[in-house]
Formats: sequence, structure tokens, C-alpha cells
Amino acid sequence: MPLTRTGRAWVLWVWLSLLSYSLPAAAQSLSLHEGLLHYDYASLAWAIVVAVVGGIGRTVLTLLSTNTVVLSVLREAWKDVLIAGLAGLAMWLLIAAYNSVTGWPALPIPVTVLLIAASGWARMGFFRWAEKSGEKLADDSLTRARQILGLRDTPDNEEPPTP
Amino acid sequence: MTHDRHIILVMRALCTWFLIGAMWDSGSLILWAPASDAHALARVTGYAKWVGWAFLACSLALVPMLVSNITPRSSFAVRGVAVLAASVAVCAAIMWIGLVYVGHYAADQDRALLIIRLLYLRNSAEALAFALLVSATVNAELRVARGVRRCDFGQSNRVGLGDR
Repeated sequence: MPLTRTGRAWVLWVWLSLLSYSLPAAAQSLSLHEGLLHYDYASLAWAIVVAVVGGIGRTVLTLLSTNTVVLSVLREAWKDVLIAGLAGLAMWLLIAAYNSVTGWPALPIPVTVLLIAASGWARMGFFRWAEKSGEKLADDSLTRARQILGLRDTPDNEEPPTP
Repeated sequence: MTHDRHIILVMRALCTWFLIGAMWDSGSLILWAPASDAHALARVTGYAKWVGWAFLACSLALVPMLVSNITPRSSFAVRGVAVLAASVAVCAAIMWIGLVYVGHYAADQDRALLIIRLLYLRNSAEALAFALLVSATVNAELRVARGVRRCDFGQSNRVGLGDR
């Protein structure tokens, strides 16, 4: 029997409640909570600020453009700041993951600043790039695996079935 | 000139003057006051001289913007001057924030360094607000010049000028 709208809402609330309980427990068991020192929170806040600066820089560029006029500057800046902050957070996690690998050279601070500011500048472009790169990586890996195993190419997941 | 345009010119000139002063102070303290907290913070980067001269260059780059706002016959800044001013302000904001980050990991995290870092954080916020102010007035001029009215925007916050 299909769930009604109310039923689906209840299921969603129960699932979110279980998730909010289990995620911190999982993070603690992975020592993420204990491993995240105080200065890392400051580093995280700084990364978000740098990305926001990049996002505001993009807003400034939009306003200085001769091809576009903007009605509300605050609305434009607010939208850019929010998305830029998220992009900076994602880039900070990537950089932290890279720096945590022992044996690899740590990224210099100017490079870190540029990467985070660039991700804020790109805003949604950063997430679109991440999505496309992830799809390409997954497709290439699957193709290589099929070739190694000698399997035939299966139809694209998004193509409609032939009649 | 209308009264509103006078007010905007004076406001822009004042903001430009404050930002020039903040950049010049940062640069001159880093370069010529070795006992200052600004110099101590810049020294942590290892490129104190470069940072100092960069701040001085940024402050001089804003002078055309100041002049264009206070000369008698100017209405609003020429677009090129506004683009330069906004770009310089964003770069200075990034430099100040970079110094705040570097200072967090300095060996002697005493109260003086904390105060200078908070000051730099405030300066970077002022620089960003200045960049938004300058670019918003330039965009408003463009909107008036091309005759774009509020009803032309519809539900969107932007209108392309390609076909107008």
C-alpha cells in the first residue's frame, strides 16, 4: 500500500532523527571529533570567510559588467555569499584531506588561499565541476573495469530503453 | 547635480579616504615600524616587505578614485577608475584576511596580535563594503543610462543588456 503524504513525512522525520543520533556517534568512533582540534575550527571559519570574499568579488564583477543590470544588490550578494561559503567549505575539506596524506607535500598558504577564493568565485560552477568530474571519474573507472573483465558495454543508464 | 548625487559622491569620497588611510597605515607600519604589531604579524608570513609595499601600492591605486569623486566637474567616477578601485579593494581584503589566518598560528599569540588581527578583519570588511558600494553605483548608472525600469526585471534580479 503506497504511503500517504503524511506517512511519508513521518518516515522522513523518523529517518532524520535516527541519522542525527547516529552520525555524531559514527564521527566519534572514527576519532573525528577528538581529532578536530580547536584551531581547525578557526581554520574552517577562515576558509569560509575567504570563499565568501571570492563570492563577493564575483558579485562585484557582475555589478561592474556592461552586459547585466541588477535590481537588488543585497539580494545578489546574499545569494552569492551563501553559495560561496558552501563551496569554500567543500574546498577546505578537500585541501584538509590532501594535507592529511603523509608523504605528499603540504599546500603552501598562498595556494590554499587562491584555491578557496577561486571556489567561492566559481560558486555553483564549483559544484557543477565537482559533479561532472565525479561522473567522469566513475564512468572511466567502470569502463576500465569492464575492459579488464572482458564484459560488453552496457547501455547508458540515462538512455531510454529501445522499443 | 542633484542633491542625491552630491550625497553619494561625498559618501564615496569619504569611504575611499578611509580605505586609503587603512591601507597606508598597514603598509607603512609593516615597512617602517619594526617594533609595531603589524610588522610582527607580517613577519610571520616571511614576506613582510612584499606585503608592506603591496599595501602601499593598493593605497596609491585608490587615489584616482578619490580625485574623481572630489573634483568639481565630475558626476560619477569613470568606469575604469571604478573597476580599478573595486578590484584593489577586494585584493586588499584578501591580503588582510590572509594575515589574520597566518597570525593565528604565530608562536607568540598574545593579546596585541589578537587586537591587530581583529583590526585587519574589520578593515577587510570595510574594503568589501567599499567594493560593493562602488560597483553598485556603477551598475545603477548603467541602469539609468540604458533606461531599464523596475518592471523590466519581472521575477528575476538581473536583466541582460544584450538585446537592448
